[in-house]
Amino acid sequence: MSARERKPAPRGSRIPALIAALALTGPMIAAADPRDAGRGSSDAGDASTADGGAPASGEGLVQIDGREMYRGLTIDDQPRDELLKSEPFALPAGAHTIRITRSDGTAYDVRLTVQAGVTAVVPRSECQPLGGAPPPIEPRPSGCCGGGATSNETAGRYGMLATAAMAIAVVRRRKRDR
Amino acid sequence: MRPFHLSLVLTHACNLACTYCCMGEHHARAMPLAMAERALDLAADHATTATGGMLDVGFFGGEPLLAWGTLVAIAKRARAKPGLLTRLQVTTNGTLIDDERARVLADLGVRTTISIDGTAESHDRARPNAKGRSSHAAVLRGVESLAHAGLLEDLLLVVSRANVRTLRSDIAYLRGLRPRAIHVNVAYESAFTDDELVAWEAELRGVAEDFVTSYGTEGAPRFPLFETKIAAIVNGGLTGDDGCSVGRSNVAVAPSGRLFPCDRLVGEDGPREAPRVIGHLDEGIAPTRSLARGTSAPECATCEERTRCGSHCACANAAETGATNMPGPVQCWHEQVVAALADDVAEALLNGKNVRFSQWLRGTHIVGAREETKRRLPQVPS
Repeated sequence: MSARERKPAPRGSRIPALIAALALTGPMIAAADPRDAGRGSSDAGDASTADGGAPASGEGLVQIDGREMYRGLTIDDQPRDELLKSEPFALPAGAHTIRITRSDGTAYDVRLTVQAGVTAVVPRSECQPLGGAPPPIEPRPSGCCGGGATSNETAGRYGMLATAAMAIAVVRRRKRDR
Repeated sequence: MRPFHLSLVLTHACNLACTYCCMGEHHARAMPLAMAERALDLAADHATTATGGMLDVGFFGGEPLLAWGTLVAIAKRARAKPGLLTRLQVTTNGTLIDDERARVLADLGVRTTISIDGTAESHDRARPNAKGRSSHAAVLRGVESLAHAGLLEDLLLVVSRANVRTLRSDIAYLRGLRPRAIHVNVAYESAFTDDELVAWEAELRGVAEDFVTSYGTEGAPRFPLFETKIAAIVNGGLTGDDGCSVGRSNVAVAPSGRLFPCDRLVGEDGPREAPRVIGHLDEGIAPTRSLARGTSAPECATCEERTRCGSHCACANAAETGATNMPGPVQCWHEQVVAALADDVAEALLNGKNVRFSQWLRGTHIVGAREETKRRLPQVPS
């Protein structure tokens, strides 16, 4: 385009397609770089362009997934409704009890062990039995509906786009299998 | 929730004579300490009720370190206020920083952004001192002092006609100073020629190549020019501090007491800037007038880059077109060039299976939150 006129960009970014393609064809991290040894491969601290910030040492992040369904949040018996939004929040490493109240008034507890430097995703309520406390859960690299919190590794290997791409792949595979 | 951002223009005076300065002619007016204290107190009260105590205080000028006493007094006052989550930051030309001042800034937790436009040759073409002589060596001394104090964080390079043809080597030079991040702003006020734009794009392409090559290596600084564009795609748009909060959660106080939506719009604080005034400190800290913001250009409505375009920046818009809500053609061109290069960067790093990039990309969807989360840490029950 000429630099002397405003013109709408005809195409958007190639990044979503690129990430989706990589997510469908295999793991992006083929091998750990030995130079990264000891730096913490799950370190989220390098992620921020805004601040370079990350949870402080000894902190982990918690993301409430499916937040739009909830109307109340307590952490260790303290009301923390202000945290009930899209962004993750930090908690000290260790065991916490998170009680989430759904829009219909029912509530459930999640006993969560937060690990320093790891984002734990509290899964959608459909994945959890309501009205009672499920067994203690640990952040681990697995899918949401296994009934546990997931680590940052799973929150989307490369972010939410990769998660979406994987979901699309599953749907496509099911259609193909039919 | 965004923090409330208070920018204090401590003085209009400056010891440099940058060719592209957005503050116009430098006059001697400085902000009285009592006014700065009042502005801080009002902002703190406002932040307590409106933003959960999250308050950013920026020191701007002129050269804010010419008002060193006021800066230190306000920083101490801010730190002494209970219940606030305060971030302090100063944008400076660096020439007045010595070891002692660097230590004071570090002790007070004042983040620094030093303006430096690259190598001595490039820098001095655009940023001579007030006598027209080189300022580069003095800036480097300030950089060194900050590095000794562990406070060398952000370097800011302004693209102007003086360095548009040497951008690649200038940014490589700054990378060698090993800051935390290198920021790039454009002096859209400059009357870039067509030839310069061609050269500029070629230089940016080289910058992108260097960024890919150095990504993840020890000490490689963050480079938001590309990273912000990539993160915006993952986030579905610009988030957090990447977006412009001008005139909403962002208020700049001029030494006259007049309120502006952003420090870069204060200018000379004279009759020409009067239409941009959004209030006066005597009326409180909240804006009493709104400002046209965003983009009203019809082309932007159908642009595929609109979710990550810098046209939200009222100051950039005003610099080129005079209107805070109308981006100019050079900005439009630059945004699209940078976006395309950011895609190239992402593609190269993804295809190259760059481990550090994959780690960074994996975390970008919470980038805006992390900033806020960090501020909230003292409120988290232990």
